[in-house]
Amino acid sequence: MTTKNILVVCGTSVATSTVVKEALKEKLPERGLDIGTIAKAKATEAPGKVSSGNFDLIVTTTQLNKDKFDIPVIHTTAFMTGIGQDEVLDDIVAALQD
Amino acid sequence: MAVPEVLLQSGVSSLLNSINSVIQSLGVSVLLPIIIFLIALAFRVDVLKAARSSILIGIGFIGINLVIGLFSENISPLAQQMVEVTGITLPAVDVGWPAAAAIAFGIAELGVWMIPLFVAMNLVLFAIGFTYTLNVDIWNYWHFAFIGGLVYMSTNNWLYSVAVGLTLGLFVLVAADWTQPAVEETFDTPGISIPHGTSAPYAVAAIPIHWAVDKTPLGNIEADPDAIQDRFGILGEPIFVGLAIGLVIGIAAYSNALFVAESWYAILTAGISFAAVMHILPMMVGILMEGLTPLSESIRNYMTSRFEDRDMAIGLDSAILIGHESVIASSLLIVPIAIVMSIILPGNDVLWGIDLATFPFFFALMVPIMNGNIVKMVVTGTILLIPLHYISSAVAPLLTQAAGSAGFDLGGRGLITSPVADAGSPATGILALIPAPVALAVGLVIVLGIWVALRTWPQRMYMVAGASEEKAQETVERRHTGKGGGLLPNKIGSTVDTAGAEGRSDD
Repeated sequence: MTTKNILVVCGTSVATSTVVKEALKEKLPERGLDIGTIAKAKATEAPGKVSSGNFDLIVTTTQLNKDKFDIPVIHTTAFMTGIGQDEVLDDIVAALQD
Repeated sequence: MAVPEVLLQSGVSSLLNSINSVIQSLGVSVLLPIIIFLIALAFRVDVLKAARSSILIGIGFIGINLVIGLFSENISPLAQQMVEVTGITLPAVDVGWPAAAAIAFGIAELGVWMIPLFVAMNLVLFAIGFTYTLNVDIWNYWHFAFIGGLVYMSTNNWLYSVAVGLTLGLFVLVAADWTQPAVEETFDTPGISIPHGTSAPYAVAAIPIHWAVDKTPLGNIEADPDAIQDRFGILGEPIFVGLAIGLVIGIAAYSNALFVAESWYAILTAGISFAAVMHILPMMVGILMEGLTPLSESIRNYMTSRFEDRDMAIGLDSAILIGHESVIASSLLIVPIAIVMSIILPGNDVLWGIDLATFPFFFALMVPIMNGNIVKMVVTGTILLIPLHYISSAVAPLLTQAAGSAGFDLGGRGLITSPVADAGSPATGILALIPAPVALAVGLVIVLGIWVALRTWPQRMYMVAGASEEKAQETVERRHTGKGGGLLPNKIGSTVDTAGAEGRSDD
């Protein structure tokens, strides 16, 4: 399998996206995924960063207009609340394996 | 000097002085990791993880200091030169929320101590049924440390500072309960509330202003947020905003020598430096956040595991609301308005900078109140910008002093402020600018007023915050009927409040 790059999006690219990034860094390798970069972005920067073509998936803690992106977008607050993390990780793995 | 009380006093003050001098010589980048390490161990974070976290926090502070150094070397002198050349006197440079947060946590006597204090207060308040929110977003405890820090600078009184900081904490909990049904409905965030120190005060202040705006013809105009986002989207990219602001300050500073090549070297450098600060500073603050993450997970588990069988809302950062198209569109539109206002408002000291990118937090909780109508949001926001400029001008000296106390080197040049978060917030105006005892009383009256109203007319209150009638009713049935989990009543007065169609004031 090829290396996958993920863009984590939140309002500031500082707070909630860091929580998600740390969780993904820890948990995705446990599921056998080869993760390259996990980058962070503000919601307003996301279209610009994605247009570089470097990313395979967006995980966002805030609403994004999914039509503006040609890669899958997963919207979740599970990593901050601690509720339903496993299900979201399943979705992320499924989206990356497509 | 030989009078015993004086001796005693001087003994205490010399003890405090020596503690202070240890703090000063250690510096925040050493002291804070030690404090965080101890707090993390107390919340049962694994020792190695706690050590890694603490080191990252020290690194984050050093990184932030480097970027602030870049700012004070390149931008502050230009801002002063701009004053001399153009006569535009805007001495308080906006260093933005990332710096404000670092300053807040960096005040050694107070900053991160707010974390265990707020956790304890929140657990007690939840247990007795005062609030439905468990605020697990420890990063945003910086707002309480910020307001407390400003009070500490003006009073030097630790107890007042903590009390004022926790009063803001109380307010955001009550505001989070109040806005929760509306947020859940508008943003599709089940079980989550937003106890955010920036968003909540602006949203609550916006309610009466919006009520008045709605009575004018402006209340009937609609605008398409998507079109605005497409047209002004570049304003949402901090590097472009930073470049533009840097160039404008540079051009103003050299407006008497625009035909000299050297001036343009300086102007272009100003542009790229400002863009660099806006891009790099959040990354450095991200390191602080990375350091806080394990502690934040432990505290979350510590808090939520105690009340597994109770109905609760988990308090998160309003960053999760900010992708909403109305938030983004309003935040883009208000940037030029803010810049113009800073120039025309008499007596304003604020020179806009990094917080131009912080308006999404200002608007986040206004979306449900105004049904996402960006005309109403921008008009209401513009009115709020008036006190924002004056409050953030007035607290600039305190914030500058706080930055020094947190070990940030501003090079002794000028004043700093962070207008949107939180130097210009109505909460800062009330809690940090009024003398502490009065501020505490006013703050508590506001909190208790909202609390009593929420329990007396819950349905109407939820609708005022932007929930639909059905959503408000559903929340009343879930939260305010029957016996609650705590000692305090879920409902004051008759069990059903009558919020008919006429109860909706913001329609």
